Amino acid sequence: MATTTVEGLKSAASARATFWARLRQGLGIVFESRVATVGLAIALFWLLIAFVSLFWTPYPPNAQMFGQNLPPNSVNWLGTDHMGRDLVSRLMAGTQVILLKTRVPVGDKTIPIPVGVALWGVIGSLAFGTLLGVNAAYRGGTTDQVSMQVLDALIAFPQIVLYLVVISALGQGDLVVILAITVTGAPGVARLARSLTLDIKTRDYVRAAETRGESKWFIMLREILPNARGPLLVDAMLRVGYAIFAIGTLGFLGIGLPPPDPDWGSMVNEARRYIFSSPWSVIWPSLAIASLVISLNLFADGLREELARYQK
Amino acid sequence: MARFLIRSLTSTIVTMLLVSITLFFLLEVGSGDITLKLLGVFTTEAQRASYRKQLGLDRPAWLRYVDWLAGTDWQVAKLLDRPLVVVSNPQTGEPEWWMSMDGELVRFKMENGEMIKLVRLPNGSADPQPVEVTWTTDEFGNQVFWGVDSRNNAAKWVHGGGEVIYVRSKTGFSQVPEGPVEYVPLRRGLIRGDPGFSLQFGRPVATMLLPRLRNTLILAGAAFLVVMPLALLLGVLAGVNEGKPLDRIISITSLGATATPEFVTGIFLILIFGIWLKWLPAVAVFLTPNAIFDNPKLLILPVLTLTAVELGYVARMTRASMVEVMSMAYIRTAIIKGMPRRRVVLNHAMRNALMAPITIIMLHVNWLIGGVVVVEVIFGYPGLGKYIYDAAIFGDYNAVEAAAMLTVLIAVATRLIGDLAYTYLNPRIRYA
Amino acid sequence: MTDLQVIDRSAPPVLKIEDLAVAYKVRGGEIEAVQNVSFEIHRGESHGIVGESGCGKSTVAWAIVNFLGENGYVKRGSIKFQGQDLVEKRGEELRKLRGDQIAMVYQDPMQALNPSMKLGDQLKEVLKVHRGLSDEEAHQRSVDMLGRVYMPDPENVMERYPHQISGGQQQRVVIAMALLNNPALLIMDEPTTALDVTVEAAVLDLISELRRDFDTAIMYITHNMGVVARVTSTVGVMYAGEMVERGPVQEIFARPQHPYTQGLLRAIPRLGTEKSTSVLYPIRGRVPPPDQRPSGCIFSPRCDYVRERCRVERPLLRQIQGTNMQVRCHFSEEIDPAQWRPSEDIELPVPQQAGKASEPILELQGLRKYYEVHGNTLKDVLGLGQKRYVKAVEDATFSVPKGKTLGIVGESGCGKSTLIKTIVGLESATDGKGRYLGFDITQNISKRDLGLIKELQMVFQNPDSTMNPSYPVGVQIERPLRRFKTVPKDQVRAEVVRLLNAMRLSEAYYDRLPRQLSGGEKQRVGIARALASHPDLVLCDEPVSALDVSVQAAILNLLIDLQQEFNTTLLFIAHDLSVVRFFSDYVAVMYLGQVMDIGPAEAIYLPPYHPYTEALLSAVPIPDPTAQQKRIRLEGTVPSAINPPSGCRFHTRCPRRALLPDPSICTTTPPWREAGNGHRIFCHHTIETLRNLDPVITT
Repeated sequence: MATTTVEGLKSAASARATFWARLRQGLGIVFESRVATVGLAIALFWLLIAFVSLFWTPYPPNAQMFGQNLPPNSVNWLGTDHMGRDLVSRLMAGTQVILLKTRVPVGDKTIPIPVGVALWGVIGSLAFGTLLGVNAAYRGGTTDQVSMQVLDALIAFPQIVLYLVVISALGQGDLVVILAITVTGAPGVARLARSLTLDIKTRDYVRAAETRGESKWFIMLREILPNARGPLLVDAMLRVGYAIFAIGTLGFLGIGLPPPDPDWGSMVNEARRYIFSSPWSVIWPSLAIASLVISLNLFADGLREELARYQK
Repeated sequence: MARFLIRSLTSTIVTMLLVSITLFFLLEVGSGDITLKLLGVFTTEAQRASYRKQLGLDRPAWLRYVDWLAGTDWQVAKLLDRPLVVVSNPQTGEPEWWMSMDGELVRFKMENGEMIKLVRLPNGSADPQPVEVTWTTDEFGNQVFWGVDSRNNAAKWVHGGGEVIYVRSKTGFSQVPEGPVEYVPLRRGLIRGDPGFSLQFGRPVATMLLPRLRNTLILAGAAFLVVMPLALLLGVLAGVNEGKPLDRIISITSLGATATPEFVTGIFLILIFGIWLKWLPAVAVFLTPNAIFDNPKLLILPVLTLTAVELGYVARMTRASMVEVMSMAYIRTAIIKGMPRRRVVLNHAMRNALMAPITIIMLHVNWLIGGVVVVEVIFGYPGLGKYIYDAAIFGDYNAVEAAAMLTVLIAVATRLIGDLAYTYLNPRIRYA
Repeated sequence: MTDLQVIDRSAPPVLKIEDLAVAYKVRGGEIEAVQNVSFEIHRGESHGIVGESGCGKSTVAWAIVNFLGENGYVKRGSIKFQGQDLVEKRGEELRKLRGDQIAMVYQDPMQALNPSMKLGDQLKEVLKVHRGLSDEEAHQRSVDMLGRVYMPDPENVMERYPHQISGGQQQRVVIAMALLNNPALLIMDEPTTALDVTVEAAVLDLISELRRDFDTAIMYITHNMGVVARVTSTVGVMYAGEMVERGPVQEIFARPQHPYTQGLLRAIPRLGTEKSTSVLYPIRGRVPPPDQRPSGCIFSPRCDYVRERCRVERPLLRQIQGTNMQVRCHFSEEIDPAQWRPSEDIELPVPQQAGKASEPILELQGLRKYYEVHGNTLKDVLGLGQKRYVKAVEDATFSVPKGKTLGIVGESGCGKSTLIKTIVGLESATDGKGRYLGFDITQNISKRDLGLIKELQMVFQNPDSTMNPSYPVGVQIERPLRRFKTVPKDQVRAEVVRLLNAMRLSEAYYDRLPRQLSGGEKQRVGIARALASHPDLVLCDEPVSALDVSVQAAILNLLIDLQQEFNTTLLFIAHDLSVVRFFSDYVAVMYLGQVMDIGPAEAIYLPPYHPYTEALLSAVPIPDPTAQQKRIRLEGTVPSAINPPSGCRFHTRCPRRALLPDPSICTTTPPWREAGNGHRIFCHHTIETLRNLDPVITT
């Protein structure tokens, strides 16, 4: 038994080494592409802002302590909104609900849990969609037809309509937004997972596993899934962008993440009425959301292109 | 090919059914007590219960789904001793349910425990007259009568005295002493083109929806017409020049355009063209229903906003497809055959490269509809999207269901068209 | 080349390549894929370029048509086509040459033809663009040319799309397209590799015939020594981006000068040799990647005659005195292939006389496998049409003795893969009996006992997909050990290492990922994984057909060794009849789901033949330009397995049908005829008739 432990440690060590090697290799790929580098830089900038905002913002983001609708000045670098709140502080704090925390109601209190709404939504659709897609493609036949039919029905909903329906049925809340993102994202993930699986399942190593009499779940999870991981993760990166896009839109429509924490889409929505007199409070959150979504798209796009070239 | 088409068609029908089930149960079962919202918090529970009954909400959920989808008229036909007729009200233009009785169109109400018939006059109003009706005995030994009441319900009255009911009308909420004991709201059902009444406005959803649909089709159609040729052209240009500066410019610009949410694009367009330059109206105020025909300028900013997002998406799809096709062995064959570049691109690559985008574009129509909702809200454009939005915010699920089903129908129908186009373009399926 | 013809070498060559080097720019530098290549091709000459994968054959072809992609370019040397330098040609000038003066035929015709364009349009445009012909003229010329390449019903084909005709017909269209403008140079890049052997034979006949008639210079690229022997007059052998030897085809085969060519010829089985009497010799080591080529002779690390000079000085391609041969070797005059002995670091199996046949381990009786198919008409979709089946395997009856090898041959779609999938349990049988040591094997794996599952394992064809790219080698070999509990848990790693060693792989491979392995190494790991559960029956689905010949020899040797050591029974599918003959004790020939001919390997390759076996044998390209081979070609294409011909499934194409006194008997099921020694033939002809057929191959 002693030998196995030593070997176990060794293989763990080598796994760790390969993790760092892979990370270095991965970053190498990213930096090959200017597009991906720019995207990553902007995205990391916002992530950094999010972490900083947990501990420090210039002023409390919800405090109505300044004049209303002020243009940018030396006190309020980006100006103030219609309630006299500092825009820099609100923009900074607005990253939290997207990227860093999710507010879960427990009893009559809400408890923040780590990881933002956008990320949970994507994780949800990734888990749900992958499982559905891999299962449908590997089993084929009726399972495939039924799964695809259900997905077709989900895809047939225009996304915003589905959001409207889900939210008008279940009410507002972080969890409802996560659910909505999961439900709207899952069909796309499932289709991708399905097409990847249809390809992978023809490979001989899957045949080999079958001739060993492995269970279907073993084959799906251990033989197929690891090889579909790459494209699924790149796709997930894009989906984080879409999710932020969607959260922004929901906020703009007034049915997104609930107050009191600031959220970019809602900021635009509230300030929209004053656009003729004071456009600043509309411009900043709009720019913020566009830059974050675009950066994630650039990153995923560049990465995909480089990976394709790398694999050639 | 027959297999392919029939599969698409069945799949479409099943999809619509699944969607309708999801939509109905999510909304009707998921929503809370709608009467609270309609009648306000100052009403009593008894009043709300009575109103729920009139809306048919006391019926089991599955039955209400059937009502909604397939209508109730055929269900109550055997209870009523006379045939049902739908006529349009000359004042409002809305359809109304009447019973045909001895050459007259009638409805009923109860006074002093006896039925009164309301005979329809040519101007649409009703003339109350006493009438002898045939009472039947129900399982509890009560003398009952089924007829149509004046609010488009099939209703059951008990001989000798009705229940106290509460009726909502334009003027307010009033008490009626001798009301029916049971209601079945009359409707023809969604599949026969009748989505029922709006809970918020009490008017038929269909009549409110149609002008909205027209406005939206104009908006989306205009965007579509701008986007398609432009996006395909840009995509092909970028794809053929893969890696060159032109491709870079088109690719990055279109990525920026797709990744920017519609409301951001819309806000900036309003700021630039509506507020700073003052070239175009910043909001689409419809003073008359036909305002867009009188002042097409109203359309420009909404169409531009929709275009920005779609253009990027379709151009990127087309580019990707073009790049893929240009790397195919048969393109190599064409080049080695000494075909001029123009011919390689136009005759050999184009058809194959456009196959994928066309299906995807058609699938993407529901994304366009999503964009329509946002754009209509930004510009206050009275279309389908704004209708759904307003109805959803209010919780008028009858209206949401109808409008959502309509959007789904549009999405599914365009997908079917996309399938057909693909079949036509791809000889491998056409001649399979 | 059996049909010699006079080539005028005094005239200037059509193509003259001198000292060509082609480089590709890659991440952090560039790779010289091809270097120091020189050769010339004259009118009417068919010049073969032969070599293993990755040696730069195709790159030379792409360099000639100046189609090296964004990152490739001609770094040194010149390519002269009819006196003009092609390297400098760009734009219009180049375009006018391509497709007019220089034409090309590719490996995979399905990929080479535009799927959404009618074949007629694809043909006509060549004439319209280059010759400015009208549509009618172009149409007529195209139809004529299709007739010229023996395309049945050319008018009809003009209106069709590529997917509507068979692979062999597609290749005829591509050839016709290349010949339309009567080019001076025709480049053929593995034109028959994707085709079945009988189709290949017909296309090769066509190419030889066209070369005579059109007097074109042909550059013929292939990896197959048999094809080289059949269609070329001059051959250049390429290795690792260089041309190492060049000369007339007969001399290359009779007196190869370069140690690499000699090794190549020792690695391939000649038709008729078998493992009990002869040995295949792999070339040791592996081809160096382009960035790690040695500075001296490029072959020196693998050469058995290597000396100090070879390591420091790169030899030039030089003429051998008194011959037409050119060779890139310092010492070729001093090498006598007859004196060659294998070096000690390659392990070879000891040829063993076949032992007595023992008890059968696998018995099939009337085994059938049908797949239901769905039609496309309205009736079928509604389920009103008659149910139809692909009859993939029909009535398979045979048994395999323990420790022996049964080879199964047949063209694609003949059901050989389905047959072994059914045996191993990836499919369940539709009907019939199948027993492995008395256990029923007609059910699929999910209904089989774990003890039975571990006894039947498979080795797969494609080295690139046989291993899961996500896991290191060790993990993949471990899995069957753990699953079948072959060894106690604490000995798993030791057992994996033992298996790796048995595959001639060191322990260092334990942690390597598949992408770090060569094709041959992956195939070894695949075999180790199959053997981990100590199966008694291993089913090999074309285990060597995707490998280069030198690697192929090593894998075959390994399998022979393992079989001798463990007394394993093998079922061996291959489409290469020489390999099957070499490797198998028994051979079964399948056509359209039906076993046609089965018996001891040596019996199958001599009369009495089944007429289909005879046709197959006469189609095989033999790596010997002096061998005489009967020329029997099959008409038409393989019928659909949904609706196979009744009675004898081969009767619609049988070249020997006329020998029957009453040919109408063919539509009835033929009898199994015993030819002695367990050789059985499924044919209406009597054994005497079949015995009187001439042998196909005489050397």
